[in-house]
Amino acid sequence: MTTNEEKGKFASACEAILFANKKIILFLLLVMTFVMAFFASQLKVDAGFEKQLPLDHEYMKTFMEHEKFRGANRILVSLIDESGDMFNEQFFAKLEKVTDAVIFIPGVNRASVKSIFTPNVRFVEVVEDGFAGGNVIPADFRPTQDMFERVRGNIVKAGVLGRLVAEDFNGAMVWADLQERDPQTGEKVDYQKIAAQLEAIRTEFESDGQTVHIIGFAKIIGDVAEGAKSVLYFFALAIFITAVLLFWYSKNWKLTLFPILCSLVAVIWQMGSLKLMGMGIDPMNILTPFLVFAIGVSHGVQMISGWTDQYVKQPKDNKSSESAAQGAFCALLSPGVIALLSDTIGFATIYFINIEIIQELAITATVGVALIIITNLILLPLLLSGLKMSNSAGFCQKFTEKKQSGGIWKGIAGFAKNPLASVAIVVTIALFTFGYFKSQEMQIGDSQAGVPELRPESRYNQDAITISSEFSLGVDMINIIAETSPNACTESFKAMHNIDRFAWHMTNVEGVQKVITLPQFAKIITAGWNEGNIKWRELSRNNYVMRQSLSGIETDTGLLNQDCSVMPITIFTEDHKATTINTVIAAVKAYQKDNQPAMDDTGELVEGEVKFRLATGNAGVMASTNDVVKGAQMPMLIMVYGAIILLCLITFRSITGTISIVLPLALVSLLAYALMAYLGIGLKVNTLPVVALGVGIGVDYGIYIFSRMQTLFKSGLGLYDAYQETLRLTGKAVLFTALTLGIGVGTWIFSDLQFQADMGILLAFMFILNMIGALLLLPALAYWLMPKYRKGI
Amino acid sequence: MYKMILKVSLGLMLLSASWVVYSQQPAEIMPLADKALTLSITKVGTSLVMVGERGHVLKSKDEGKSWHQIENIPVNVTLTKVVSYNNHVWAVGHDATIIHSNDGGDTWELQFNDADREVPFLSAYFDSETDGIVIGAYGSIMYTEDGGETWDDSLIDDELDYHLNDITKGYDGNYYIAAEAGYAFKSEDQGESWQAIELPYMGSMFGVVSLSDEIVLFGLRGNILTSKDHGETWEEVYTDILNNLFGSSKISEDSVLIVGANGTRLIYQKGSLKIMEAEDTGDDYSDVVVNGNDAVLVGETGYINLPIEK
Repeated sequence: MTTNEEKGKFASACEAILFANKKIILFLLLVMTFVMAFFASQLKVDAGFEKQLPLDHEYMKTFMEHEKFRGANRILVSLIDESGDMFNEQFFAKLEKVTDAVIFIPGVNRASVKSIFTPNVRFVEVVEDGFAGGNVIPADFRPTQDMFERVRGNIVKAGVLGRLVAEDFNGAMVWADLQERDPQTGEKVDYQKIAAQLEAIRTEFESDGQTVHIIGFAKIIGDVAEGAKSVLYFFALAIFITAVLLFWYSKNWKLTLFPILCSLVAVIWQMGSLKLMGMGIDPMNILTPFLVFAIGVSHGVQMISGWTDQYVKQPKDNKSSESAAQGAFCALLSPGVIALLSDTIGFATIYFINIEIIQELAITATVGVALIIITNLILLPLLLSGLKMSNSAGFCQKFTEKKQSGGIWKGIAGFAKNPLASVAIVVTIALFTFGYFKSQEMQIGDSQAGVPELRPESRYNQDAITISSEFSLGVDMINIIAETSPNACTESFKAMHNIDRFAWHMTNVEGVQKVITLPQFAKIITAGWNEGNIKWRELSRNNYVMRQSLSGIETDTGLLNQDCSVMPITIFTEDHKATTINTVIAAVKAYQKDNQPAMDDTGELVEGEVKFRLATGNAGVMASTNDVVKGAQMPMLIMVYGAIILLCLITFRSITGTISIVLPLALVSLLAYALMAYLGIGLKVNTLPVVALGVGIGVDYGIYIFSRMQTLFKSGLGLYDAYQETLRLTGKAVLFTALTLGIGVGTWIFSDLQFQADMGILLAFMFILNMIGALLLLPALAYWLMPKYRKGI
Repeated sequence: MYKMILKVSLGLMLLSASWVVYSQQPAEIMPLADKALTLSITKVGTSLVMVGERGHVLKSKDEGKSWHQIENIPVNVTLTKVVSYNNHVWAVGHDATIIHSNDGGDTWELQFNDADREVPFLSAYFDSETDGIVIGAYGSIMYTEDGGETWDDSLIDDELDYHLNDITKGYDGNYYIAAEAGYAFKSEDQGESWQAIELPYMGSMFGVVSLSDEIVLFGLRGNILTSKDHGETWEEVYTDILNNLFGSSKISEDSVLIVGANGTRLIYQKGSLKIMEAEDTGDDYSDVVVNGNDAVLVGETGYINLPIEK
């Protein structure tokens, strides 16, 4: 009891300081808001490829070490001729221009650009006195039928059919790798600008019988950022819906405006702080500000409910907004701070996942939620204290009338005793079981061919389908990096043989379409030196022949590094579904295990030994991300829940009470995963934090409700009566908040962005289920776990 | 020109190379072995056997429709040619490899292997279960009279070290070898001695086949030469194709199906040619076996079943 008195004293002391200096504080907050609004207005969209990478992961160490062979941040621009035949003058003219246009996009690694027009794509041809090679498009190219036949032959000889040219010759493709930083200026590239330039290429060349299809990370970011503009309209809509419902609830437009205003102030401060911390906002992170708004509203509604209750209770002839505000402040300071602190700490723990974009989200959410402590627990009561009620009698009338109609609340209160308490427990056990099994079906990573952030019918995903159906290769790949001794490709038959054997093993793995690696080219060129005789397609043991074979292969082919100590094995997979990637990764690991390279005493590789390292390429990156996401999911939840449990234990000094608060949350988390499995939403970098954020929303409900009940227990009420009394005020606010926010985010299913639609469904689900859990399951658990309060039933 | 320089240098390299003993690893059983580079195919009784890279040996009992890879092949080098006599099968290949089966291709043993000489064997011919000749790069020629238990290791010519690409026994009882750079060889004494033939075309010949009354050579860039006078004079058969021709299979005693690079398939019959349109894949075919109206072609992506004329 002493602690509670102290707490009461603490709240009173805060109240005294706060309300005495009301004007100064309000003024400071106002100035602060203007300053922050200024900074917030400067906040830029900041997208990046590398920040999506789990840099601690083994594969990503390979990725960072071998910059040359990353091939993950790639743009593919394909030009398709609608006639079904690309061999016409217009098509070739356009393809050349598209190639040039791609080369000149800032941020594109120019040496990496490949199309049949670039000099790094060559073919080999056998002639009487040896063999000749050349560019696919000859220097004397003229758009004649004969020349087209020659080019067609060159395409086949160059081995780019299915990669740079569509299998049935109805289109061609330009590849380009992006660099995250401009090598000259060292500045970070602007993905939206690149996306806009890609879109400009489409606009310019997509007409008169040719279509342009573009895929790649830069385009995804561009399209998501484009779609994110509509996110703002949906935010506005959600805020409007909240306002309308809040007005109906509070019966007063000022009481409607204040919590919304305070929540928006929190968002403004949050965005301003991001700018001050030198951060931008990632398109994938654009929902976090709304989340902060939602949590703000949730606390704001508690505050105005508390205020209204105090105000209505005051004697008719002595109504004081100020004392009502003081009363509400004292009553809500403790649960409000606890709830927000557990959110803050919970979100902060997400920071331990070492993927930059998730850390950004952790910071964004943590800062936002922490700021709500100021805006909704300080600013809001101060604003309320100055509220002038024009028709105070009428206002109070509405609430006293309402108080009598409590049938539904009686029903809900029934969950604090049997038989409903038992029913709730049985249903909970059933749901836990169902949720557990269903959530096991949740995919890690992507389950579709395109990207899940965009609508299936979006241009991007349609382009992805077109490209993967016209071009069998080149979209999804895993590069395994073979590390061996310097000059291995010309001096070590054994090393080349080892790489070749590994490549053949990978070719035989299910889901692999083709494997490309240097030894294959060495074989073909060796045959070329032997007049193209196919029987000579074998690796030579002779160093001279090896050197001769590889002298013509430049590093810009991406098949080897400068001193030929590193050679990638490029594995083209059928798609980038997690199951496909996992199969390949498992095969690589099995091979590594069975073929460990021999080391000498100094830890160097013995001559001819090869170390195969996972992995680069877009699918390699996905494999590592999937690994990390899968591994991070449980620790993240444990940390989030750990923070909540700890704070609840400290605050309420009750293990059973803590269980009553946390168990409903855990059930909702589990069911959220089950819902993700049901909807086919895979767990990936962008969706990983959503469940943790959902916990943050839900815990507020439980803490407010339990805090109120505990106060009532102390005043001598039994569980049922205490709960009924809690429902009247706190419970009603919880119910109202959840429904309001649920409806608000529910409208997101109409968003242009699949990602926002998915998040809308998930958040609405969690808002509402957390509310149901807090209102129905929490009292049932209290009934079973705290029998000493069962009196008076 | 490059090629000449290369060959001279290669000779020097061979002399100066340090001798390392390479141990052969057995071939690995892999699901896609029937889709890997396959270089030669032959009939063995009612079955078919084909060989290719990584020591792949595959057998079919349904005329080439389905294949199973033979286990326990003692080498994993590229096998370039498979030939049979009755139930005996020999396959030759890189690292101077000869492997043998006496049960129609089900089990195999290593007969000869010498990686150090850096010579691939390229073809073979067996006239009985015991007498055979294996030929290969740089004029290598090997004889056996005991079915491969022992081999007489030799060179075809003291001066000429050209690659010997293919060998057959002619309708006239002479042996003919298709060789490199405008050369062929002929033996009138079962291979005891060989005489060089200078061909009217300077390029290499990759294959030789004997019809009822003529010897046909085919090779680089679509060139086909025929002789009806035991190799004394050769006539060029005009083709407008520029693809290498690698393998053949007789359709009848006077017609032959010849296959080659970029999906080339043609039928030669009594001085006239019929050229079939290439399949879309444009794969290189290295060898073929004709079976009635159908053919099984092998090449860079394994095997394909096609009607002879399509």
